[in-house]
Amino acid sequence: MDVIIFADREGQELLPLTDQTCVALLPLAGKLILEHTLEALVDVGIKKVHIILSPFADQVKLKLGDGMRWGLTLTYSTSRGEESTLQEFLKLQIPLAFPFLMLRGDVIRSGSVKDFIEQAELLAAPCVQALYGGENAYMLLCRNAADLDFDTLNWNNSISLAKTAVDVVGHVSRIDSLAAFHQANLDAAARRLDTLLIPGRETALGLTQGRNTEVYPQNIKQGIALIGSNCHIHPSVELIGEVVIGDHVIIDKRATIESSVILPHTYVGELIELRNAIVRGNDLIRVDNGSILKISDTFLLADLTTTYFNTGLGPFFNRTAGLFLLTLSLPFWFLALGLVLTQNPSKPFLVKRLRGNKIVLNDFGVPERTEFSAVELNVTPPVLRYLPRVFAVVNGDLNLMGSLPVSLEVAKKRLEEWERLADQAPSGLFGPTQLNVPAGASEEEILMSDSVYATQVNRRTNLRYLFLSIQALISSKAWTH
Amino acid sequence: MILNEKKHGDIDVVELTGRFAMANFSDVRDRLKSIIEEGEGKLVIDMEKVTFIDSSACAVLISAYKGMQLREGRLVIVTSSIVQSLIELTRLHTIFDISPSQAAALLTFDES
Repeated sequence: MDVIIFADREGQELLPLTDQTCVALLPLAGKLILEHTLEALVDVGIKKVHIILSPFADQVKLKLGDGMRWGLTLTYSTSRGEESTLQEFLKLQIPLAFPFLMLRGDVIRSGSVKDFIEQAELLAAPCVQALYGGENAYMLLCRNAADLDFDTLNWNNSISLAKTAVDVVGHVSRIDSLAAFHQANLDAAARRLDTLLIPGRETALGLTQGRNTEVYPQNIKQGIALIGSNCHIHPSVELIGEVVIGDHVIIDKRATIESSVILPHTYVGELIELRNAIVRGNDLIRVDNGSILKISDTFLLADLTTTYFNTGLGPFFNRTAGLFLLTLSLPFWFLALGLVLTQNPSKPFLVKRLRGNKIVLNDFGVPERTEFSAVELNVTPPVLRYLPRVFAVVNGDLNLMGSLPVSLEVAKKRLEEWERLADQAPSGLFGPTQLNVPAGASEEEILMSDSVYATQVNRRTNLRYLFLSIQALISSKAWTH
Repeated sequence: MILNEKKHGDIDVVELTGRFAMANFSDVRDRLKSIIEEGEGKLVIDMEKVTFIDSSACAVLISAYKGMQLREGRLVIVTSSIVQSLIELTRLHTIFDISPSQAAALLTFDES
């Protein structure tokens, strides 16, 4: 049986959890939400699944691949996100054998897909909707593409609308709020969502853990804990009530975690008390009072995946390269000085405020890139005009290679996901935009050039652009244009 | 790059063939701009036969998208696998209305 999964929810209702991923990729009891749907389909012998994606489609494809690990053949298409399911279906144009199954992959359902299919196949209706315990299960068995109740698959429609429905035993969580996400995790850990396959093995009463995890039976004071792989829980930590801890989590001495969900790659510091909370890195979300806090003190909470441009050997290499370039450029400073004094003696230079690569915490504890003063000499040849920016490389404000530095005002106008992609690359003295995009190009051209660079940046591409930069520096265009 | 224009009722269809890159992007941008200004607010850009696309071509598509938004029109894009890859890489699929074929693109106007 062919299957179409809609996993195109934008997840605004789950912010900040969905600021760097989509709903389908949020972890629920040790697995991705979409994985639970795929496993339910494998259980009924499904082999081919087509998934409609929208935000962070690249991440989903990377995580799920071609589906071989489940014995599935996965294919994908994309949409703008939360479009009408009818529109998305019409655009699909994939050959479908009847009957086929359509369902959402960004909600959690606990109930037997097999029971639903068996009962739905007995009915003659062109389209049968699944209800689990009377709730819309966002699943349709379709026999006739001309008469489908597409609206029942729109994720924000919880009301049963299909002409024909089959009600089977089960439960549906729409994950439509942070509290619902928290509760679904606790329900899964406590096996209240009994058809979900929960990873890990039970090592003590109430304690289920993944591989390479250090946790002790005395950590469980009362209740149930589901702990992922590669975690380190100090023996003095107290886990109370239902607790879900994701992979690669470190919980330090004498911390107390009660009825909480700790997402992967999080550090929880000494003596911290968490209650009714979701913690993701340094985001602390209280589901009982709705507060969302960004903790800036990394001794309390920290995101173990945080990487900045100016970490590791990168800054050392860039600054050294900047010094080398500065030394090489010394003769040109005299030339630049001479040109400035002859061309524009009254206004020899301009100063612009641009966003650099240094990171500081703002008033809310959120890491932000700082501004720096970029001096431009008021001369025509681009090489001489931008000569002072070599100092920004020496200072660490710019990398040798990177995207075109922009002002903070321009950066703040980039609000949408596709616009913010370019921000993932460090700003640089040289780069594809500086080399290829002509002066006076539109904002779209600059943005797209930097976005493509941000997705491809690595040492090899940087070396290639370095070679092209050297070529450009000795070209006539760099000295005359 | 070959640019072919035709009309399906009140829908403008622009078929692009070959390499869609910096070398020819200004011609395409200008042509699209005039089609958007003169058209009925319904545009299909068919890139099924585009064999290469770069970031400047994506910028042209964004300009067309913004132009259609200003006119409260609708732009549907038909992609080849190469075009689709770059659009997904740059996350433009979250704003573009994408169809797998020209026929499907025209059909979406009927449905709406």
